[in-house]
Amino acid sequence: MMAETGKQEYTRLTEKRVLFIVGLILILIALAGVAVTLGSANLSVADSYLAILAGLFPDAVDLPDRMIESNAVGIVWGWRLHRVLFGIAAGFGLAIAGTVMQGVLRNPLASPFTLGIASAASCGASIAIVLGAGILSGSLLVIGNAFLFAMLAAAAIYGMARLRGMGSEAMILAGIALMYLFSAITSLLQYLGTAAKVQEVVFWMFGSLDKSSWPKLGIVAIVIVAVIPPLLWRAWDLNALAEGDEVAASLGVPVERSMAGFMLAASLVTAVIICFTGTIGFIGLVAPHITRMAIGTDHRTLLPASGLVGAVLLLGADCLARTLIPGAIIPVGIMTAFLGIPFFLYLFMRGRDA
Amino acid sequence: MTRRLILLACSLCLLAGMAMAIPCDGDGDGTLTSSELAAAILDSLDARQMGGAVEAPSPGDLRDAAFIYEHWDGRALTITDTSGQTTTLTRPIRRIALFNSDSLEMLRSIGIEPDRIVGVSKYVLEDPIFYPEYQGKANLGSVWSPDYEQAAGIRPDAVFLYASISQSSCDEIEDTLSAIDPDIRFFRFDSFRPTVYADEVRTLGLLLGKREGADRFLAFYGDAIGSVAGVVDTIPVNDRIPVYLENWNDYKSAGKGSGYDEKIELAGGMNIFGDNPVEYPAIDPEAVISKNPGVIVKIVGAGETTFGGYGDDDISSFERVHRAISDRPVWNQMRAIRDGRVHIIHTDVIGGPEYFIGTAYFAKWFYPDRFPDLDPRAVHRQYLEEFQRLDYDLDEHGTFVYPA
Amino acid sequence: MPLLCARGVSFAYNDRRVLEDISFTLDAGEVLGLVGPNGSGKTTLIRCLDRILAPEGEIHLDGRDMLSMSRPEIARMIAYVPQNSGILSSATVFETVLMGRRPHLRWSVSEEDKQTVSDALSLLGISAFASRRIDRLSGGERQRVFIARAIAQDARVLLLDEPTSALDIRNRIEVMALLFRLAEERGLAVVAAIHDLNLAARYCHRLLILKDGLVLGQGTPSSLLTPGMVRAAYGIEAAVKDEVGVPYVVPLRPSDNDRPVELP
Repeated sequence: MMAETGKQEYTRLTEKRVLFIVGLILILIALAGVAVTLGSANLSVADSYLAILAGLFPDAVDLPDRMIESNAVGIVWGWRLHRVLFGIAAGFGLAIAGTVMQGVLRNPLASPFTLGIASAASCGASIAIVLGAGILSGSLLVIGNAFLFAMLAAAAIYGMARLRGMGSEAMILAGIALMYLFSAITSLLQYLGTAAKVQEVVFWMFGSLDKSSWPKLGIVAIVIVAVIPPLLWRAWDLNALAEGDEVAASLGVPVERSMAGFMLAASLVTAVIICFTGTIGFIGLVAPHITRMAIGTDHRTLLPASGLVGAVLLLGADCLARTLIPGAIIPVGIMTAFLGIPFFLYLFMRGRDA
Repeated sequence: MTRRLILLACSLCLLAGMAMAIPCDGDGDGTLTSSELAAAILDSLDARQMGGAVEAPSPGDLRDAAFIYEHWDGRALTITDTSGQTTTLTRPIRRIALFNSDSLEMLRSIGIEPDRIVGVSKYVLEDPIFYPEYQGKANLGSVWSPDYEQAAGIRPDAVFLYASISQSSCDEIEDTLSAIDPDIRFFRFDSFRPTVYADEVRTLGLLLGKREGADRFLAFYGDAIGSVAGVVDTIPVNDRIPVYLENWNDYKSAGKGSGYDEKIELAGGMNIFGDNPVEYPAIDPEAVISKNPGVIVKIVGAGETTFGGYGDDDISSFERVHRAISDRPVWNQMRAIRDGRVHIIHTDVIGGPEYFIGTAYFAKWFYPDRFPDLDPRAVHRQYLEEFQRLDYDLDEHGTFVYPA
Repeated sequence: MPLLCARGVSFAYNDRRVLEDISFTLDAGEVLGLVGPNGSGKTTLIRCLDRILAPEGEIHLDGRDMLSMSRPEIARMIAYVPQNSGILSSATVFETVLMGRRPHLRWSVSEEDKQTVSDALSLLGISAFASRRIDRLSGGERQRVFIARAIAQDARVLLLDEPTSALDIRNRIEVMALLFRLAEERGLAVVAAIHDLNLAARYCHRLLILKDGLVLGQGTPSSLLTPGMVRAAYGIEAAVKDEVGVPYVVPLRPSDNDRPVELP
C-alpha cells in the first residue's frame, strides 16, 4: 500500500508538471495578445488586431483612414510584432541556457553572467563601438563582435576547465576570471572613448529589444529550434549530473563530453541572443529558480517550463518597460534587473528556514 | 491633344503614388519647364473652377512642382550629406523628423518653417526656452533610445541623423525605420563641426528650398568666423598663448581631436594637453602648473556643473566656480590666475551650432589687444534675434560667460 | 566464474602512486570489505572498479574485459553508492531512486520503471518518504535512498564508499545486514569500503586490507584479523577476541605514536 502511494504521487507530480506547462503557454499567449496592443503610437486594442489582420490578408480588410494615415500596419508589422516574438524567443532561450548552466555547474546561482559570457559580449560590442574594429562591417559590426567574443569566452572556459579537470568549480572560477578580464577591458575602452561612444556602449549594455527585426528573429528561432530538442533529449543526463560527477559517471553518463556539449549549447543560445539585444540579465538566473520551486528538478519538464517562464518574464518586463513612464521607453534590461530584486529578497527571507 | 497627354501623364504620376518622376513633368524628360508648370496650373483651375471632367494634378502635386521649379531649377535634386551618402529627390521634403537637435537649430538659422518639422528629439522638448515653437511636436526619444512608434506614426518623409557620432545607433534607426516605412529618406548632418559647418548650411539650404536664408546666414557666419581667423592667421605659432581648458568635471581637460581642442586652435590658442589621445583625459594638476598656461577656460553646463545657459539667469554659480579655481592650492601662483585670466563659459555657446560665438569669446580672451572691436555678445544677440527668431533678451536673461 | 575479477590494478595521480598491483576476485553472493587506514586508497580503488577513474591493470566483469565495455553497459552491471556527504540535489526520494534506472531508461518513464523504484523503496523500508525532498532527510534515511537507487539500477555488482560512516550504531547494523542479505538473496557481488573494522568483520564474507595503496592481506575475517595484521595496518596494539563466532578487535593501549593529553 505504501509502495502504491509513492508511485501515485509521482504520477500526480508528473501530471502537475504538464499542467504547469500548459498553463504557462496560455499565460504567454494572453500576454502576447496584450503586448501587441502596447506602444506609443495611438492605436486602440481593436486597431492593433485590425492591423495584424490587414497585414495577413491585405485585400480582405478595409482600413479606416486614420490608420492608413498613421501607418498602423507598418508600425504593427514592421515594429511591434517581431519585437513581441523576439521577446518571447529571447526569454525562452536565455532561461533555458541558464537552466542548463545551473544543472551542469550544480550551482543555482550560475547564469550566463556569472560565467563571463555576457561581459565578453559587452567587451566585443565596446570594441566595435569605440574602436570601430570588428569581424563584420556596417550594421553587423557590433553584432558580429558581441557574438564572437561571447563564444570566445565559452571556448576559454572550456579550455581552462579541461586543463584543470572538468569540474564545476573549475568552470566557475574560470568564468569569474573572464568576467573581470572583460569588464576591465570594457572600462578601459569607456575611458578612452568619446562621450558619444560611451553613451552608445552604456545603452548597449542596458539590454533592449529595440534592435529586433524579422531576420534577427529568424536567426534566433533557428538556433533555438536546432539546439533545444537535442537538449531535451539529453535531459536525463542533466538530471544525473545533479547527483554528482561520480554518480553520474556510474549511471552511464559520459560526464566530460556531456558537460562540454551542454555548455556549448547554452553558450551558443546565449551568444546569439545577447549579440542582438545587449546584456539582459536575471532571466537566466530567475526563471530556472522560480520553475524549480514550482515543479522540481526533473529537467525533462524543467527545461521547457523554465523557457516558458523566461518568455513570460521577459515579455512582461518589456510591457512594463514600455508603459510604466508615459513617453519614455525604459530599456528592458533595467526592468528585469528591478524585477530581480524582490525575487532575491524573497529568496533571502525564505533561506532562513531552509 | 497635348493637353490630354499632359493630363494622362499627371494621372500616371498620381497612380504611381510615390512619384519617381517629377510631378507635372509632361514630357517626362526630367526637367520641369515653365510651360509644363503653367499647363498643369491651368488644368487644375479648369477641373476645379470650371467643373471640367478631366483629371487634374492634385494640389499637392502642384505645390511640389512649383517648389521644384523655383528652388531646384525644375530638375530632380541630387545631394550628398556629411556622411557621404547621396540621395536623389523628385519631391520636396515636407515632413521632417530630427533626431539631431543641432541640425534643428541650423535649420532654424536658414529660416525653416516650424510646420515642416513633425518630430523632434526629447532634448528639444525638454528645452522650452530655446525651442518654444516646437513644444507640441512628436517626441522621438534620442539616438540611443529612439521611439520608433512615434517616429513612424508621424509619417515623415525625411529623418535627420548624426553623421560622425553614434554611427551604429544611427545605422540601426535607419534600418528599423526603413523596415516600417520604406518611403522615408535619411540624411546625416552634424551641425556642430567647424570644418563642415558652412558646407552643411549650404546643402541644407538647397535641400529645403531655403537658399536665400542659407546665403544670408552664411554671410553672418562667415563674418563672425573670418574676423577671428583673419587675425589668428597672422599670429606666429611660437607666439600662440598656452591655454588650459577644463571641462565640466574637475581636472578633466580636452585632448587631441576633441571639439574643444579644435576651437581653442581656431581662436589661436595652444591647448597644453592637445597631444593627449583621450577625448577628456584625467590630468595631473601638477602638469598644469608646470606647463604654465596664460589663460584658463572652464566649461560649465554638464556633469558636475549643470547650471547656466538660456534657462538660468543667476550668475552666482559661475562666480563660485571662478573663485574655486582661483583658490586652488599652489595654482594661485600660476600667471593665468594672478593676471585674472580665468574665464568660465557655458556649453550652449561653445558646443553645437553656436560654437562660433564661443570661439569669438576665446579669441577676445586669448588676445584682447588684437581684437579690440570684437563683440561676441553682439554676435550672440544678432544670432538669436535675426536667425533663431527668438524673443530673448540677452541683457536680462541667460548666463553664458564669466567674466564677460 | 567470479563476477568481479581484478588483476594488477594500479593507479597514479600526477606521478603519485595511489594504488599498486591490487588483485582479487569476488563471486556472486559475496560481500567484500575494503578496510585500511585513511589515505590507503580505498576510495580510489572503488572509483577504479566503476571506471570513474581509468587504472592500469585488468578488471573483468562476469568474464568480460571492462575496457571493451561501453559506459552504458558498465552502468547496467555496476552500481555505485557514494559517500553520504557533499552534493545534495533537491529532488524527491522517488526521483532520486528513479535516476538509478537511467542505464535502462528511454526518455519517458515506464510502468515497469516505476514499479522497480517502488520495490526498491519498500525493500529499504523508506516507502513513506517517497515524495519527500532528499535534502530534508536525515543521514540514515539518505543512505538508504542511495542504496535503493543502486538496487533500482538492477546491477549485479554493488560498490559502496563508506556507506555507514555518518550513521548511528543501529543504522549501521541495519544497513550492513541489509547488504549482506541482498548479496545472498539476489546473488549480488558487493564491495564496501568501511572504516569500522569490527562492522566489516561482522558482515563481510571476506576482507581486503589496504595500506599505502598496497594489499596487506585478504581473506576471511577470522583468518585475516590478527594482532600482527592490525599492528601492520594501523600501527596500534590490539587484542582480537571472538564474539558470537566473529572476530572482534579491541585496542589495548596507546601506541608509541599517541601523545596522551596532560590534564592539569
